[in-house]
Amino acid sequence: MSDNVVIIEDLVKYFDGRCVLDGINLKVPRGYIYGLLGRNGSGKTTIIRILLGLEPPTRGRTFLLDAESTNLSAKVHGRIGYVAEGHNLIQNYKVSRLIKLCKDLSRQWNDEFFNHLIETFRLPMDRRVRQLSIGMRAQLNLSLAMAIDPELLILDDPTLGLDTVARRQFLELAIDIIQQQGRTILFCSHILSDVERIADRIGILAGGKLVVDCPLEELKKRVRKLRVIFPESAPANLYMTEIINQQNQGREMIITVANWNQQKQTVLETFKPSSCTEIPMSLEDIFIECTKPSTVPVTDE
Amino acid sequence: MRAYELMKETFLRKNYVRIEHISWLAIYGLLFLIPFPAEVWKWGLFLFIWSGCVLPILLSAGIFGDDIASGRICVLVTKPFWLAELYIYRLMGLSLQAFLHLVLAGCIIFILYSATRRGSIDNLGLWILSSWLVFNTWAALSTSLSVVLRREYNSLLLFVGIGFVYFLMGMLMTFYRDHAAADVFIGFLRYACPPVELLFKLADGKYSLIKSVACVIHSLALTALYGIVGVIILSKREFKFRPD
Repeated sequence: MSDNVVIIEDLVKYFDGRCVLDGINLKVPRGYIYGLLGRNGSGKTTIIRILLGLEPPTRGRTFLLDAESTNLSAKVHGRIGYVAEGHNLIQNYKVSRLIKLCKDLSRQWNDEFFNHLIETFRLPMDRRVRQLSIGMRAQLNLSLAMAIDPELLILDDPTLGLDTVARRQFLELAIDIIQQQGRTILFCSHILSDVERIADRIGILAGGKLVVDCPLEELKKRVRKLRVIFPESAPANLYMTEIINQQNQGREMIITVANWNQQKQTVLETFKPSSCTEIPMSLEDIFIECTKPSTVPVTDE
Repeated sequence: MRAYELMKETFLRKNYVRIEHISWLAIYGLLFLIPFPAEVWKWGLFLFIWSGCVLPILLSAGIFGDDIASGRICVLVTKPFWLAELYIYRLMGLSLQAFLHLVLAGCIIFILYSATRRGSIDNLGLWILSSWLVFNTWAALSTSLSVVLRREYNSLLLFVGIGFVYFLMGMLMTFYRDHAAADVFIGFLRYACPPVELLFKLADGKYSLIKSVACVIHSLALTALYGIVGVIILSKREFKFRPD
C-alpha cells in the first residue's frame, strides 16, 4: 500500500485545442488535508474529474488509492467520498428517499455518524432536494459523502453557498475526520480562509501549471514581499531570479520573491538599500501573487 | 439490494413515469366504452403497439441523457458499482416495469372483455409476451441512444427515425419491389432493428413452435446487442455537466 493516496503524473488535458492542464505532478500523502487552489477555469474541477475517472486525460496518469483512475473498480469507488461542485443531487427526490438510495447503493454506511451529521445540520427529511437551499444541499451532499467512512474524501468547492456557521461546522467536521486514522482529504475551494484554516498542504494552479505545491507553513516562509527604499531611484533590474512581482515608484520598490534565501538577500544588499522591510502576507496575498501570469514555481523539491 | 435500488430508481426518477403508466392503463379502460366488433379490433395488437412499442420510447426518455446533462450521473457513477451494472439495472428496471404494466393491462383487458365482449382477445398471452419482448428491444435501443444524446432527444430521434424508416420502406415496397437493394434494406430492418414484424407474426400465431422460439431468442439477442453497445458507449463517455 502506497503512502500517497493521490498520485498525478505528468497530467495534460486539452479542451477544444486549449491546454487546461500542462504537465501536472502531484502527490497527496495519506492522512493529509490537501487544499487545491486556483482561479475560475484554472482546472481544479478537471483534475478531480480525471482523478475520479469521469473524464480521460489527454496525457499522463492519475492514481487514487493505488488504482489507476481510468480503471477504478467498484471496490475502490466504495472507499472514496465525493462531493461534486454544484451539489448535483437527484433534485426531485425527497431527502429521506435520496438518503435511502445512497445508503442502499453503498457498500458500507455509518448510521451513527450520519445521523449525528443530519442532526447537526438539521436537515429536513420530508422536503424535496430541489426545495433545499444551496447551503442545505451542500450539507446533505457532504453528509452522504462522509457516511460511507471514506478513506479519501474529495471535495469540490464544498463550502460554496454555506453561511459562516455552517462553514465553521464543516471545517470542524473535516478536522474530526482527519483525526480518524488514515483519512485523507483533497479539496478545492475559493474561500482561502477555509483552506488556510485546515489544509496541511497547498497546491495552486495557474496557467495550467501547478505553481505551488508545498506545506502551508513552508509556503508562507518561502514567498516574501519586501518594501525596499533606495538612496536614489530604485533600480529597474535586481538581477535576481524568481521575482514574482516587482513595482517601482521613485526610490521605493515593492517586490514579491519566491524561494527567498540568503543568496537572494546578499544580491539585494549589493544595491545598498536604505531600508528593507517585510510586508506580512496572508494566504490570499500569496494566492494573488502566485496566480499572476509570470509566476515561478514554489515547490518543496 | 443494490440492484433492486437501481431498478426502483428507474421507476422513481421522474414523476411523469408514474403518470405515463397510469394514463396508459386508463386508455385500455376508456377504449372499452367504444363498441368494437370482434373482427375489427384486436386487443392484443393494440397492446403490442400501444404498450410494446410506444411506451418504452416515452419511459426511457432521457434515461441517461438527463442524468449526464444535469450532473446527477456523478452521484451514480461514483457509487461502488460498475458502469455496466448501472446500465443493466436501469434496463432491467424498465423491463420489470413493462412486465408489470403488461400483466396489469392484460388483466384489465381480460376483465373488461369478459364483462362487455367488445373486440377480440385471441392469443392474448402471446401478444403480452411479444409486447414485452419488443418493449425490451425498444428500451435497450433508446437507453443506448440516451447515452450519447442530450436530455430527452433519444425519444424524439426514435419517433422521427421510425416515421422516416416506415416512409422509406413504403416507398421501396411501392417503387422498387423487385430491386435487390430494397431486399437487403428490408432484411436489415427486419433482423437488425427492433423485430416488430417478426414478433407481430409470432403473436398472431403464424409461426411454428421452433420458429417462435427462434424469434424469442432473436429478440433477446438484439436486446443484449443494443445493451452491449450502450455499455461500451457509457464506459467511453465523458460526464460533462451543467447544473440543473
